[in-house]
Amino acid sequence: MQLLLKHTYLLDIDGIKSDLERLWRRYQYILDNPNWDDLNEARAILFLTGRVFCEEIVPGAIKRRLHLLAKPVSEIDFYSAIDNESQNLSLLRSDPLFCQLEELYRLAKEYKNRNANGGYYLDEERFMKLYEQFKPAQDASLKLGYRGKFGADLESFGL
Amino acid sequence: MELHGITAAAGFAKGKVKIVLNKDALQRIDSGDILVTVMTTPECVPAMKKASAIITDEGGITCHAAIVSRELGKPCIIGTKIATKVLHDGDEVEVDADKGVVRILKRASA
Repeated sequence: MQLLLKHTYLLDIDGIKSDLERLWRRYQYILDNPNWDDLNEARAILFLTGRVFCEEIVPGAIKRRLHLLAKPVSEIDFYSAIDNESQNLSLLRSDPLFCQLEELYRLAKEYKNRNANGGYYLDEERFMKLYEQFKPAQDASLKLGYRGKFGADLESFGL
Repeated sequence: MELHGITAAAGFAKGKVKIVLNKDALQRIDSGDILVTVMTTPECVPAMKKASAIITDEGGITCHAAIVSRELGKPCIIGTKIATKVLHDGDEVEVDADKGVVRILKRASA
């Protein structure tokens, strides 16, 4: 993950592609050969790539560079132009930085859309089934994605 | 009353709210409804196509709801945190996605 972040800082699209591929292959390998320990690594890959990288790091990297474009655009105009296949795209693409940022965004979109054998994005459905199946008995009450009850937790500490 | 969120896809729409908290509720979306949900998943896409606007509690500028609504050209406000709790089925709302604001025009009669 640190390599992925390093390549993002450098806006090294090939490096980012290769890091995402490596992490995706590792994730798929774990789902094909599951055990409890490795499934928690898969959970980390799923969260760090699908959520943190695609939804936090990539938008942040793009936002920080939009003012450097030859003709700066707002964040929403940048994403809308690409997702809507706007007529402005050909003009925007005359700027090499725009092309790099577009490639980064499309890379994140393509990654999020992967579903391999599952119906959900990022093969999450298959991951969740395996996670429940391999969960040790002492953790049986733990639910994936459970956010807890903040107030209740505080009460249990007498606060 | 107003709700505030992040603009994911610009635009303006008015319509009746349909709250979607599970798969079954997706079937209840009619053309022109305002789809209000915690976050969208791939199975929400047919309902998103029917809706005139999308509002979510969670998500960022590259979340599923944001990307799909931009591709569909539908106004979308994400990250309101409380839309599914404050809005109710049948409420009439105005979605000003350019400003990231949802205005409640008329509450559904009880």
